[in-house]
Amino acid sequence: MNSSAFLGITTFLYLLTMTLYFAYFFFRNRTFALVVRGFTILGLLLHTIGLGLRWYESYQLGYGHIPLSNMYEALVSLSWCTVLVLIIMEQKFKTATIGPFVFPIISIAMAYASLSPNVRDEIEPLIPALQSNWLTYHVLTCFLGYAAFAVSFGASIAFLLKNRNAQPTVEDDAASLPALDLLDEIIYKGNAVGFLLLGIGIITGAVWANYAWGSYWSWDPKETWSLITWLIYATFLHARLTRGWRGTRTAILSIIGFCGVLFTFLGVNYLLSGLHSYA
Amino acid sequence: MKSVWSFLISLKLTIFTLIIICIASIFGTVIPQKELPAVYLRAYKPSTYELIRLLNLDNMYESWWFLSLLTLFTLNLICCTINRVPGFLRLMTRAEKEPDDQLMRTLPLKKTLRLKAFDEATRNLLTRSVHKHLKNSTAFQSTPESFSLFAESGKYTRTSFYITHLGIVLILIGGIVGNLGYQGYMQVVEGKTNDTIQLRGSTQQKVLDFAIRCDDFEVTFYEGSQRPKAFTSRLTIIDGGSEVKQKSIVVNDPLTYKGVTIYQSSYGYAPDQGQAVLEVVPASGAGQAKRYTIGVGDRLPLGDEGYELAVRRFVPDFSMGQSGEVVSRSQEPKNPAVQIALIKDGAPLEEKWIFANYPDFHGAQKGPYKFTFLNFSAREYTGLQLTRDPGVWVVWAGCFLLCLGCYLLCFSSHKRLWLSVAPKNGEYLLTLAGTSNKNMVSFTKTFERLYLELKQAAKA
Repeated sequence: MNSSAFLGITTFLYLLTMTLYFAYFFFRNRTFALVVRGFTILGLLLHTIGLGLRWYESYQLGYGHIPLSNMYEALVSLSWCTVLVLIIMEQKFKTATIGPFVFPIISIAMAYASLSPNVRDEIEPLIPALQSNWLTYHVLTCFLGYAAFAVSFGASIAFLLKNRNAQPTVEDDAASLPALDLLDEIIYKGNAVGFLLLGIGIITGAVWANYAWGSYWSWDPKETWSLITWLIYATFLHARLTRGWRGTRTAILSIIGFCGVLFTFLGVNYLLSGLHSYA
Repeated sequence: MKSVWSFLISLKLTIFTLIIICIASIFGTVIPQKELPAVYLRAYKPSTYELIRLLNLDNMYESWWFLSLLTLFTLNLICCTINRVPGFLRLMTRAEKEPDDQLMRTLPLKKTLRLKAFDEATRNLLTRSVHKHLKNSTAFQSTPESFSLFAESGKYTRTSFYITHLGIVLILIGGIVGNLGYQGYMQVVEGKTNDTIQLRGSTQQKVLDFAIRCDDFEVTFYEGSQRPKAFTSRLTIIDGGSEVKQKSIVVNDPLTYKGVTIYQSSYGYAPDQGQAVLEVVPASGAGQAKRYTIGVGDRLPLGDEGYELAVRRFVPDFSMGQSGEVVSRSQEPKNPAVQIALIKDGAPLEEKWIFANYPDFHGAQKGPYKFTFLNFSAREYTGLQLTRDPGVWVVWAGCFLLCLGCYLLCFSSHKRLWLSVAPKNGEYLLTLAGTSNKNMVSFTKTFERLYLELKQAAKA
């Protein structure tokens, strides 16, 4: 079996997991949560094998690079990061209520990567500008940051829906905190970690650009948009930490921030042109 | 003076400058930057272009108003940070009060416990339990009947705010210091030496106090494809007449000498360098084919009837421009061509392009000779970018502080606990209360665990 087969099965498995997560709304019990978690972990395992195989295949073709070099690889790796961060967050906060809001994003990204005619899935050699270890550090930190933002985005949607239904007294099955407080904490934590990771991602990008081109910042559209996104999340953190904003207002800020993430990741590539035109 | 200060520390100013910077940046990503007027006139109406020019939107990130906004933002950040220093110092040096009812009421976490007896041993046990979770503890009063204790950890993580902001300020200052340096470009033909760079964004040139010789330039390709794998220049630095440093640079591996970093940037064929190998056969068919090696710009006699051959130009990838002029589409030898001239008695008879890949094209047989373009040994030049940025280490220091500050912001918190024991109705009432400036979820867990431990200690 080759990497495409593994990644195909992964996509299918993620669609199934998404359905299971939706079903979890109606069958809220511990066993069902464990089944969903099992499927998520199985999906991540196959996803990891698929990416690892693709990496290996690139060596067989004589190129030998980590699968982070074109749109297909970016979408697949970003999905991988998102599943990983989702599992960590759900484990840490002992909940299974953010998955239903994050898995649609993951499934769409995976399905778009495999099915869209705009996304070429061949393994391509690296152009000289990308041949650097900084590629791994820069892209992975950015993607882990995006993944943390995606999880917070899911939690923000969950928060707004729950808040509208106005059931603040409902206790989450495993945590001692009411569900809304827990979601608020997840939104904050995901965004804070994402802020740190995106910051490191921008900085590793700057170090790399300085090393490859002799200029750490050139106001390239991708750079500029990642900075705008980072500033939106800086606003979020200030609102929460120094102004004491909680709940609905921070959830909305978090959603605005994620729109920035989406534009930085996709919009810049499809609508604007610049140095990052290859990825 | 006071009103200037209150303007500089206002949150409104922060929000205002940030929003304007963000909106302006969006314009900067949508409108192409630093292009020629023709590019804008193709995309916009002349009146719109006038407006773009008026607002410097075609080179916005270097315009006076954008740089002013960045400066204002930096000032605002510095002033806000200074403004918070007194309050911060008060917080850091404040002696914690004994827990009273009023304080206990405001704390988010609070639990009580009944103790049957209270003595020296219990007190030590309680202190040890608290100390296990929060390292710094101060006992306030201790009588045989009552006892109270304050404990905290992570007090200094409250500096994360300053560390982060200092990082950002350093990055911005580093950017300003960087303007004292320069960026430029130079071409060095293989085997030649150059010491003059064309400065970026101006027509000025700068002469370095050392020279760079390009010993070799090479492009390698991925096996069986036209995709370039590496651009390599072997460079030698010549300073004061002697060779002081040698290095092969590639795109992700530059060379630094005397604070100037030299990057592989582009390459091409030196148009007036190199030699063509041509085969010349008399058109009549009688007579031998002869091979000549001839440099661009040179001429050479053919036979003894007064004919001369000259090579005018070489292009590696022949193509026609918009108005019919010959251009090279790329720097790859995809369609190498030379322009030759046949000269009779000092006057040019005909000029034409002949192609290595298409020997029979373009009437190569006209005139008394047939010419075939066999080979061209071109001299390549390497395009180098040179940067001197004295501010770059300030920027990296700022980046480090920024990461450190954000890390502390994410993963640390200032946790505080108060514990008191007082007699009540013949028993003793233990009150445990606490708060954390961040990460309440994890602190709540710590608090619960400590409470259970105290409960067990009380039973024993």
